[in-house]
Amino acid sequence: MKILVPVKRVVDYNVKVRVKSDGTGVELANVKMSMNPFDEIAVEEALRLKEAGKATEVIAVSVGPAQASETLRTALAMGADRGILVKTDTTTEPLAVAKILKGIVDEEKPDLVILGKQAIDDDCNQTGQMLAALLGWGQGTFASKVDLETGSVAVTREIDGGLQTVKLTLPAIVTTDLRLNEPRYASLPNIMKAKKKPIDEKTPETYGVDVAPRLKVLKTAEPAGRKAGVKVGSVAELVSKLKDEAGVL
Amino acid sequence: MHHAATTDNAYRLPDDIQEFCEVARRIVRDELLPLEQEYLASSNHAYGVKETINLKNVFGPKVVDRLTDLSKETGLWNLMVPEEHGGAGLSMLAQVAILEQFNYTPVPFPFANVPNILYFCSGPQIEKYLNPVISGEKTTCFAQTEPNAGSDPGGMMQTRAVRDGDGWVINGTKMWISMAAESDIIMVQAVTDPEKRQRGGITMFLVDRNNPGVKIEEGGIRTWLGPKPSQYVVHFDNCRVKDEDVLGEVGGGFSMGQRWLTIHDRLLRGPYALGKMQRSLDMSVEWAKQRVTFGRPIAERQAIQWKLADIHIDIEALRALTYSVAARADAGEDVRAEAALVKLVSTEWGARSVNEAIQIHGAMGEALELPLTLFYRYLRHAQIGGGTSEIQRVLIARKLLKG
Repeated sequence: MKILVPVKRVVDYNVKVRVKSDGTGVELANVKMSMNPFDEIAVEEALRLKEAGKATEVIAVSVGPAQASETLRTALAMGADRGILVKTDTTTEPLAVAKILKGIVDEEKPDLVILGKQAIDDDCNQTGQMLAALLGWGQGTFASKVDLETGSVAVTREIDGGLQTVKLTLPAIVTTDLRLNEPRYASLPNIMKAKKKPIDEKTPETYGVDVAPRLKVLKTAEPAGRKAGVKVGSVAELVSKLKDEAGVL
Repeated sequence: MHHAATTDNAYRLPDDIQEFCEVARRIVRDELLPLEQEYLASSNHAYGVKETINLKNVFGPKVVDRLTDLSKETGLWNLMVPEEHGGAGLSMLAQVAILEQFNYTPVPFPFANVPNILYFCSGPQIEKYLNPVISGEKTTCFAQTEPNAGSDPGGMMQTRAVRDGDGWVINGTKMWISMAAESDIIMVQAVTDPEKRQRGGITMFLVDRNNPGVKIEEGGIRTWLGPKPSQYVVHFDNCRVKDEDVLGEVGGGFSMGQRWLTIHDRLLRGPYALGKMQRSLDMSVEWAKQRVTFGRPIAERQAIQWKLADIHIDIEALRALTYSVAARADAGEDVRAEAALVKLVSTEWGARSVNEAIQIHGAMGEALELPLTLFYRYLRHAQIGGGTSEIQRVLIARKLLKG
């Protein structure tokens, strides 16, 4: 069985993000970009399923600018078999990405699509769910454990009250949470092998998808800075401030 | 802490080398930097090139095993091992770029530490000596220097090996031998023909550390390189070895030793210094922005700005030099003189850059919980160890004056 893993190129999680001076977005020029960490977890999970003999092929797909091929190379270096780059310079919204992914699913016919639960740039947390709806497939989101069985997959989900396990009939959609696994580092031999792995180039038009944004970003602003605290002279003063000013007592 | 993110892109290195470097940087950031405080606080770390031993000195087996497994899984373990011996088959350019990343912290990452002369092993030596060193089961040290033979080992060496039946008897004393006490195999040079000396009269022997004729002075020599001594005096007292313990040809030991020095102790000093310099600069930039004197961050003072600029200039120039010499080595050029240049520049500019970083940090720069003074001591040491700066200049001049 095939597993499809969408991977997104985002600002590296170690970079301190800065808002553009004109407030139209965040600064991306000369900023280090890498694979969305939740997507790395998705790639890792797919690779483990393949190594366990439960999957035969892992296909990574990325929707984005030409440089998103670097993100695909990372997935290939981790061990994915081939890549599909859907090239667009437009900032794509989750619904557009989900529609493109549906087009790829129709073509590739995977039994499982594993996505990160959200991307760390826009934190939308929508693509997996929208894709499930467009395909009419079952979805197991925020997975902390994935057990693949014959014809079905049991997904343990992290929910507010604890853990919930759902059983999905294949084909299905899974989105990954932080604790599902610890992604591997790419190995030097695999990085070299990845150079020979194919990346197919497509465009949104290939799948008949109009990626023009439906939403308009009005303004991007830095979160308000933290205000300086005050020193209190005594416990009595602390209690009175907590009571009267902070209102927490 | 900010980690230099774009250094490799700036040189337009091939994509795969950039990806190797990215893996290395992530390992440094996620695995090694979190161990740095414990490493620096330990009184058990020692200067030396055998990372696994040094890790074992400081951390429990859990940490050592985890890092060793990670190194083997990612293929980094065999970074410097030739392809025919199961290595990654990477270019020198790739190796220096990757090694720079690992030198960002003093916490060592375990690699197969094979002095390249060991690849002269032949026949049964391969199983006995080479393979266990590649796998990490055994370690080696290189014994050339003597109390009276440092910069002129060929001319001044007194250790003798004399024919005796089907083997040899070695007598003499070696000094400043790094990591001798921790090594299983001593690669020792001895004079086998006093007439010829460095022109065919010096031979390299592989000696088991447990040979009854080997005596390593306990305690070693204490230096400023670390709380634990790593350099030793080694005596050979009627040390008997067999013909099969000769590495390469009888009389071929001196040129072999020089070959090792070209790559290991010279060209690889480039990345060794670059990682330390980049870290020192990154720390200095952060510090200069935070540290306020007379109402303004010191980053606004021109005296500090000049220091930052000077360190950056040294890094950029050294990196360009190191990469270009590595690329020339990859193209098959004889880069002995150029490697001497890299060794000289990396250790002298490296030490002066870290020295400035310490000055920018003020008293904080002297704190042992920062890696700066350790970087300085290592780089200052490297102006002597492996051939002094003066000897490197002689080698460079020799090429200029030739023919």
